Amino acid sequence: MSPLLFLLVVLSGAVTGVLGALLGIGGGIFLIPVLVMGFGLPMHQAVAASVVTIIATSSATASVYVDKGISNIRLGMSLEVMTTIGAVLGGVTANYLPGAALQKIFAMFLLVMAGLMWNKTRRHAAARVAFDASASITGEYYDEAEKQTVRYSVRRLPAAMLASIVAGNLSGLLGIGGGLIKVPVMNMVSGIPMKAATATSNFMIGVTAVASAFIYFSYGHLDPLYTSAAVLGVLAGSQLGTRIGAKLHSRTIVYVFIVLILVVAARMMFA
Amino acid sequence: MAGITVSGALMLIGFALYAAQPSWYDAPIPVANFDWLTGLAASPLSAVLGNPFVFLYAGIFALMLTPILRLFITGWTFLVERDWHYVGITVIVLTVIAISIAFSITH
Repeated sequence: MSPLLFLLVVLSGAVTGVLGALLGIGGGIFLIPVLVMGFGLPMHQAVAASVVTIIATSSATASVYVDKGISNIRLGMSLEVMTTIGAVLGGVTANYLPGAALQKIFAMFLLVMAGLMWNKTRRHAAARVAFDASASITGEYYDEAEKQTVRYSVRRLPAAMLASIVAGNLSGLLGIGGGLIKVPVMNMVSGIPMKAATATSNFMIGVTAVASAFIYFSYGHLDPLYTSAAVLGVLAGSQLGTRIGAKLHSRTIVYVFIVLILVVAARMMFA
Repeated sequence: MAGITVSGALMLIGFALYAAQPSWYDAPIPVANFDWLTGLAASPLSAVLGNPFVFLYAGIFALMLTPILRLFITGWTFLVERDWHYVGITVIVLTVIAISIAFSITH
């Protein structure tokens, strides 16, 4: 790996970290296409590198959200049971699929996610529901932007758990965090405020990723040079992302991101 | 934060060693399997400490251990609160991860 290549991979990781922190996702949907199409890394190695960078994103952001009480640990652990099982199954399955097939599945996944993100942005305000103290899981946090304490109760937990096993499976299969599935499900299905959903997802994605990271490692797909360079970039980028996130209009970021992933999906589908 | 600090520091040391020794540029990238670890164990300490891949892999492993450590701390918190339901859930999650580690070792 030349110094220039190293810097480019670090830069890609930094962009991934910024996007991850801004959008509450692992960032694999950006990093994997860059590693595959930009640097010519085989699909399996790109997925393995992405899985490790998700752990970096999660570790860098989760501690902040847990300390502030925004992450709902009980909800996160309840969903994580299903997600880790899905992630292990996905990690094993991915190693029996050819790289081209994995690439096509990834492109189709991107298209679905673009639709979900578009939908989520348009229906952002629809998720707040009345607080139910008898719910099995409740939560509260202080919202600095709204300058008030937000209380919420979790509803339809079994449905969220079912979605979590799908998110975990896709995470292990495609090297993504699964936040793009978990966050909309927690928000739209379980009625959790977006901030708590994003923070809880950030707590979860690292645990989900580690379950499949060992599987990828055992198959020899982990390239230490690309992975470490991307991780260093992600660690820097996620710090930067959490600082600039508050100053940017989130809806604009999401629309730009949707265009970006549509372009990437088209290229991966027809490459 | 301690986990990612240690991990990042190990990776930076690895890249510094890699940049300082151009002979590694064209060398095949080792896979950190049992044979590689056995070979390292039989090598002189100076060779191990001069090998950039030792630090890069150590950094990656330190990072991979961070969420597991977080789970143990979470489980301990539930244990202190005597919330047995969530102690059980944490144990299940740790068991699934243990299975994936066992699979990766035996594969």
